[in-house]
Amino acid sequence: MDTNMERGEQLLDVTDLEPPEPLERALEALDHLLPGQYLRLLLRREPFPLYALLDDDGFLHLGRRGEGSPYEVFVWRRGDAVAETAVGEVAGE
Amino acid sequence: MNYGALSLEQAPALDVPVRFFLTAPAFGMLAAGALLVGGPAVLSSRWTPQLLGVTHLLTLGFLTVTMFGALLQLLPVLAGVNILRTRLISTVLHGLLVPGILALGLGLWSGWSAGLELAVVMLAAACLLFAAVVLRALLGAAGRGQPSVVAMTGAVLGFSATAGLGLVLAAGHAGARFGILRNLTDLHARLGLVGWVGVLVVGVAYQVVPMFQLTPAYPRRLSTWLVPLLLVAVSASAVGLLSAPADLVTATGLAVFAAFTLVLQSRRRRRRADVTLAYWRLAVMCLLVADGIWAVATLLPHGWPAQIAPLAMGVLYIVGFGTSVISGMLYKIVPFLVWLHLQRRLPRLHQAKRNLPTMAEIIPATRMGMQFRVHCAGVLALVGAAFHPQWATYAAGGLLMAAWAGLWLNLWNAVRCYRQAIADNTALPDGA
Repeated sequence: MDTNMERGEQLLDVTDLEPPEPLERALEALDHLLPGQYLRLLLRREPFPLYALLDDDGFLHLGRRGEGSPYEVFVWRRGDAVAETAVGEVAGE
Repeated sequence: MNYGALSLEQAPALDVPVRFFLTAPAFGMLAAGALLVGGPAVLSSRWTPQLLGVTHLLTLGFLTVTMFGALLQLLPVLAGVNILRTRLISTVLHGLLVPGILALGLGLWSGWSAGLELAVVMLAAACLLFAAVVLRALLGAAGRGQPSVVAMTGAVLGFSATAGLGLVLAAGHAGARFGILRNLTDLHARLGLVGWVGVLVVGVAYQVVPMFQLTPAYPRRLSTWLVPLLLVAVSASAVGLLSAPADLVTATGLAVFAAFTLVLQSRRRRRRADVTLAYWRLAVMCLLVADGIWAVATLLPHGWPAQIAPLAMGVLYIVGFGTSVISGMLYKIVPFLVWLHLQRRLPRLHQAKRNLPTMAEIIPATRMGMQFRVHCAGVLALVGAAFHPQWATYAAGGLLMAAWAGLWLNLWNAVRCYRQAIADNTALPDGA
């Protein structure tokens, strides 16, 4: 996990929140995302309504079945090559 | 394929689903008003024309109108279903339903045959359109084997059968040559209450109870078998095949669903007071009491005044169970739609700072809590009125009128909150 933090990972666990708080918290966290960083969201289920909001706000995402949670989504700013590479490394592990 | 994004891309403007959701409590107010105008005589028997009118204002005007709006809006998210031309279809459906239900209610109440004829034409068109659009979408759904999609498909089939029988009955009331086919009435009521309302609520509960109330999932075996069992039992009972065992299966199935819902809610992960949870609890408890009355009336057929048991069960099922679940769900769906549409209308890409309400601010919890308490009192009074119309009809009418006016006002304030946020944020200097 430390290695992931060095790669710019911002971890947000919203598995205990009821909808749409996970979406609210994710959007708040994205407001503070710095260049080179990405958000790793831990969720109870796939957050379908989030994807269009991310697209509108200029973010890209990658979702998959989680390791420590039922589902997880990686989010990074469109055009941020550093963050995109980091997501590729972490998600490809 | 990303169905969630797909659904949002084609999601209609906020006013399209919300007009269904604001219409429901308005029909509730009309039904409560009718109860106040008609007084205790309305509840003197299950068969009074006035009660038939009031019942349809609730089952069609409150329950079905919301279920139509919610299904069209939520199917894409819950079932990965793609509904084409949602905006056009929703507008046409709403335009047919509202005058159709008003004409039906008034026609049944007063025997106005021209009103009933108008109702038959408009409601037939609305029901055909809804069933065709939703069945086509459900049968092509990505997750059509999932229990909640199976339940929704079963519910729409149940609705279609109910509507077909209802139209024949309404035509009879309007003076059609074949007359009023009274032996169809029970069939129509059973299919509508269990096959449409019950099955849909069960199917939706599989998804929304664990999702919104953070409970464990319903047991797999229950979610797989309950709906097919209910549909088979209600169909068998409706056509007179093994009626007594079929009724037992229906009552037991609904009781098991109610009990499991209460157990799951007691094991929820986050113990925060929430009006939707309170509404669901009230609803399933009313379902259990209705089941209890059915059991007593069945075991002691001579110990119970024949007309009271069906009346009390109807009140508990339609108002205690049906309108409570719907009110609880509206308090989740409407603020969520407002929040989601605000996020989409005002993306952060274009504005450094936005001042958007959070979900909790869209309808304050205290107002919802107060409205819920009045609703509970109204349900209690109406159950009392089923037993003693002289004592409690006016109290029930007054309380339910206040409760549904409160629901309408709370939902309307959510819409105003949306408009205010749009106005505030587009007025910002760097607004999009």
